[in-house]
Amino acid sequence: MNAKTFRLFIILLISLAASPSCLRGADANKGKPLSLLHNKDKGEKLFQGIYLSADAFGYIYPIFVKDKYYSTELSATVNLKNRFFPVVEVGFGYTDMVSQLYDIGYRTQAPYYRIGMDYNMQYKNGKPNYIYLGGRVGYTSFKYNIDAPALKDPVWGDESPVQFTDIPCRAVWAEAVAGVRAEIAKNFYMGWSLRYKYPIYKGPIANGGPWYVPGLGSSTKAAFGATYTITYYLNFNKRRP
Amino acid sequence: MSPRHYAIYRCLLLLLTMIGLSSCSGEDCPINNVVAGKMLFYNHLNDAVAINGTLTVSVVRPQGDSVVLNRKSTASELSFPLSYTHETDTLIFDYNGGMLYDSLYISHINVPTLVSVDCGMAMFHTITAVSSTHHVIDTLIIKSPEVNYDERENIQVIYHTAD
Repeated sequence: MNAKTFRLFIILLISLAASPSCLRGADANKGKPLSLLHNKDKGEKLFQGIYLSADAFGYIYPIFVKDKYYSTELSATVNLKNRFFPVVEVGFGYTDMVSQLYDIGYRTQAPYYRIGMDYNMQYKNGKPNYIYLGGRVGYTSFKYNIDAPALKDPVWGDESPVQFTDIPCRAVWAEAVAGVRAEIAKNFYMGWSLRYKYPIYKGPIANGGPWYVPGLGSSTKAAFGATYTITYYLNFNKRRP
Repeated sequence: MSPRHYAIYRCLLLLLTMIGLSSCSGEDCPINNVVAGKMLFYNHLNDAVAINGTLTVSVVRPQGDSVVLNRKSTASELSFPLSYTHETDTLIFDYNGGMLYDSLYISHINVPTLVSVDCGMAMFHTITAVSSTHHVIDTLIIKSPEVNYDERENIQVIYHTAD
């Protein structure tokens, strides 16, 4: 683990440590006997409801940083006993940029998909706010274009043009997820998640491989990502507040 | 401030933190950005050897030969360029100021490579075949065909004698 990754981990831990204050009523069960909370959980129905979420972070992030790529995604999360949250995420990644330093144009656009599961670390408190840990597996199939100035041979003096279109590529990656989801109005939630993304497969590799992979990002190694979601909850549990 | 407004306020603060955190990730460009092949010299026993005398190496070009190593004494290895557009390059080995010559022929595929949009493009190569005359050189072996930033040993040059 290099120094940069270690620093990001420290920030992540601090963020997680601060997150309980983001949750309304997180301390509501403080002082209650643990056995009472367990009994409450036993009475929960298996299927509680479905969270429908839209991510805004993919559009906010490029405003503040130099990487000009965008993504947006929708997700559906099933609430099982307020404890397990199987999730399907469908997104669309897009970039059409030219690097200022080398005048390299890179263009791609494609959908991406993730499936996974979250686990509510605070399921015992019975409140509709969550700190969760989870995992995802992502997949995308896309084509990308590279358009750059010709490479000039320093010894022979020849020039080799650099124009590649529709280079096909597929990618599979894994994500470790940590996040919170807090109710801001009845059945409306706001939440964020931090994601550690690890490429499992990228290929076939041609001409150095893709710079940006929809859903995975621009790094060739493991990288951090984030989501910031607005969520509507379809509540199928009438007993729940 | 109500608990609900307080929660929204804290979550927005966390959003700004996340933007800062995510923007920390950057691309580290390779320190070595010179693409060159590398060959090392051996005797029949597969021991590394140095040329006894001087070695001058030129690459053959349409506009005239270009010297890439000039009368180097006791050379034990050579970094050599590969052309961006030709399929086969010819290197002339001149031992001891014209006393003996060998010609090396290196066939390769040229691969324009996107290192990253922040680090630029580079021309990498894949060596497909090597051959030579045999005045002093006995055998050539492709050790690693990929010519890129890694500075690996690409070709073993095995001489008839330690000279």
